[in-house]
Amino acid sequence: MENEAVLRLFDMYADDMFRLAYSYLGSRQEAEDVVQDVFLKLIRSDITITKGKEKTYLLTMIANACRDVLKSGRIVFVEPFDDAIEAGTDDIKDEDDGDTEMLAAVAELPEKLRIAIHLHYYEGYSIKEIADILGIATSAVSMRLTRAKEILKKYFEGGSRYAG
Amino acid sequence: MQDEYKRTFENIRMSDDRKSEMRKALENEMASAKKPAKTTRLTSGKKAGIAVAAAGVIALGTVFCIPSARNTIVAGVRALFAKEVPEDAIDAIDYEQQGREERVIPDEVLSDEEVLEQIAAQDRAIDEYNESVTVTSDYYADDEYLYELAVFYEQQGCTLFDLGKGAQIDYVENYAAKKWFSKGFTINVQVGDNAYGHTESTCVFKADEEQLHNFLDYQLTRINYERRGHDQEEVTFDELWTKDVDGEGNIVYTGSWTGPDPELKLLDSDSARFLTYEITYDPNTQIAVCLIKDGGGVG
Repeated sequence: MENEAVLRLFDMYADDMFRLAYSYLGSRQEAEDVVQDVFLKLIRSDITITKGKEKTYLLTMIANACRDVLKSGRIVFVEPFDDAIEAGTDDIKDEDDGDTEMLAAVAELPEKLRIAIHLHYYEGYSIKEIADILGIATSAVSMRLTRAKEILKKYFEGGSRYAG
Repeated sequence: MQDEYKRTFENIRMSDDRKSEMRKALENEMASAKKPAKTTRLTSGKKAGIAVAAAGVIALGTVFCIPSARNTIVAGVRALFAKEVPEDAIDAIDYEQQGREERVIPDEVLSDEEVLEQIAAQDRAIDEYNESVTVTSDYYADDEYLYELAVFYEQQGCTLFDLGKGAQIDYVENYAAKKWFSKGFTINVQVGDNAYGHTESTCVFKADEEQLHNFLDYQLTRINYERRGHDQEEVTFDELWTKDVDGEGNIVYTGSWTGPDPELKLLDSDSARFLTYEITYDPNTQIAVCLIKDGGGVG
């Protein structure tokens, strides 16, 4: 891939890629490493990304890379956002209690549900687009979103923590 | 919820210092990197072959020629699928049931039997069976063709597994110079996890016994990953794989895993997540046929 194009993609999407990786891995350092690895792969390969599909392609690469990291057992999974919640002003500026509570609730979701929620509510992807990114059926995405919302609803209604 | 989540998550980002440092590292990499040149190019005839393959995958019904020596085994596995496929094709067939999340669970006073009957009728009405025949992989004596094929499959979103290295690989172009494909590869097709849905795939490949062991070991890792995800104890190689010999002298390995019942199970038909394998290996021809059933569960 052309060097300038890679740097342009980095400037535009590095943070979005980092957030998705962070959702998967729960570790800032691992998430940063994955983002860097993905861009190194882009530099070293002849991959051509369809115009207009850059972000989707990059997030797909991040999702694949994160799954590989998790499968390798190289890292011990840590609940995502914990450091962000604890760090307070470093990562969450001017947050109110509701925001922190939301992060905590999402952090407790199982990985599959958490990623679906992130892509849908933060990135704004449609169910079909999420299915493409994750390589699963649209019905599976719907199911994950439904389950996630059920769990979050219970969390906020009863304050119970998901134990799954 | 969307606004709240978005506002909160917006504040999580890489530090400016780290981003700057990473950008500099990328620039350095660009300055020093020499992209590995492809050592081989396709002839026009092979290009035509790949074009046909691409068209075939898109049209669902791909045919690839394979050496006739493996046809005997492949035919046996093919018989498991109630579907006509060309004799010279290596195939995998995916079934997906979609739309079941839209069904309505009756809430009026009915017997269990009547409820299930209504659900079944809805399922019959809304199910869309997507059926496709997908080329999985093959062992080709022609490394150049094999490499180009790997690139093609990666572009289709497939995950490739290299038998020579005994590992899953990504971004095949990076590995071209290392001859990762000299021993062949296989493809793990998409995992289906719809409620009651599943994927069946067949991978056909050539491997010596050590390579086959690598493959089995890799699948053991995959199952243990699933087991960890469901709070189950990991299993050892011997605990997973059962080895047998069939009437034709083929070595048959079988292994399976079933997850706990889904916590949000609605119906009896919402099965637990599962993975099953049946691998038939002919030591004489070194051809392995692997049937994988994968799926189930809710979410």
